[in-house]
Amino acid sequence: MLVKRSSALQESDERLMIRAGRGDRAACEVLVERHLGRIVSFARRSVGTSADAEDLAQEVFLRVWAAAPRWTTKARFTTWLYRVATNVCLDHIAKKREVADGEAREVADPRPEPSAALHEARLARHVREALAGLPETQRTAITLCHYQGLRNIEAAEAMGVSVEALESLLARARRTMGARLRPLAAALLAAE
Amino acid sequence: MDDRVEMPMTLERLHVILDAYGGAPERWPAAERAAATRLVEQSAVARGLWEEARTLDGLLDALPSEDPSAALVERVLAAAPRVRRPRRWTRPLAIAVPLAAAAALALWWTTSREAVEPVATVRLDESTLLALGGYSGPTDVLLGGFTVDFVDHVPAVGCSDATLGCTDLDDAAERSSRNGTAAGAVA
Repeated sequence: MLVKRSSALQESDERLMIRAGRGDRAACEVLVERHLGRIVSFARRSVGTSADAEDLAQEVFLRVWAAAPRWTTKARFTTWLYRVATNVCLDHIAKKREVADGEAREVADPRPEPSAALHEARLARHVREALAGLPETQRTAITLCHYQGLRNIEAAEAMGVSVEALESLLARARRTMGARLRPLAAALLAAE
Repeated sequence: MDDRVEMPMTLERLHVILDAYGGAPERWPAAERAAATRLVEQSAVARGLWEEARTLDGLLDALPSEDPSAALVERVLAAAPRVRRPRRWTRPLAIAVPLAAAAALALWWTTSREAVEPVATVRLDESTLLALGGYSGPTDVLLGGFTVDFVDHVPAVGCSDATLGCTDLDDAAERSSRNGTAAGAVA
């Protein structure tokens, strides 16, 4: 029996997965609405390009649909989802390592821009570059915890590390990001 | 850190939390959140560390989230599991096959049943019956255990069938008169 969309919106991710495994269209749509955008963002921050991010997000959801028919409510969907996304992205990075190293990175333009929107866009580019410059595990850790909002236990489980190891990765990632971004942000502010 | 255990908060531990998770309390480990918040409120040094972490959070938040394209959404939903529906040409078969199976079962059931013949039929004639157990007559089987002389106690009911062990009417009448029982009377 198909779940109407309105009732599907009230279901937990785990219940939606069970219904999706039975071919419930409404359940699939709600899962996509809830998580596809976040997975695209996660992939974008992990691998650096929008085109690759969408392809990787699609790959993640193909695995979601493959797992749905045998899903049980005991497993926490979000943790599992980001474990899959982490593995998919890390596999992609490993395959593209030589190409990624050769990609020309945009050089930050220190000249002041009159538009606030442009200011935000440049800062965003700096952040994206700083994120891309992190080691993969640090980048994954900070993306899961800061950008995707996972709790420390969930992020550690998704990465297959202890909470202590996660905290170490996060601390190093934030220190590196801070060291790179604070001078650039100060320069941008000073130029206004 | 165990997310379920309340831990005492120190400036050193707060520094580790702020270094790893930033300045947003909702990102701090649940078990340490309340204690860390109190320390920030009570300590100027802790507040300084907290403000520095929040500044970096603001820079990191400059990175916008990505919205999936409509084409991606369509591709993902197109690959979602679907309910398997029988094809049109299989629907009549889905009805006809079970009916044919039921008809075949009914036909087998009705044609395979035969009268069960006993392995052997033995009809015992009276002489054989009488020979069984040393009894002299059918009623002997019933009366044998009671040591009753059936000849003297069988009422005269007019039975003249010698095979049944009955006496003829004349003998019955004689016995009845001897026993004080009316002829033909049935006990």
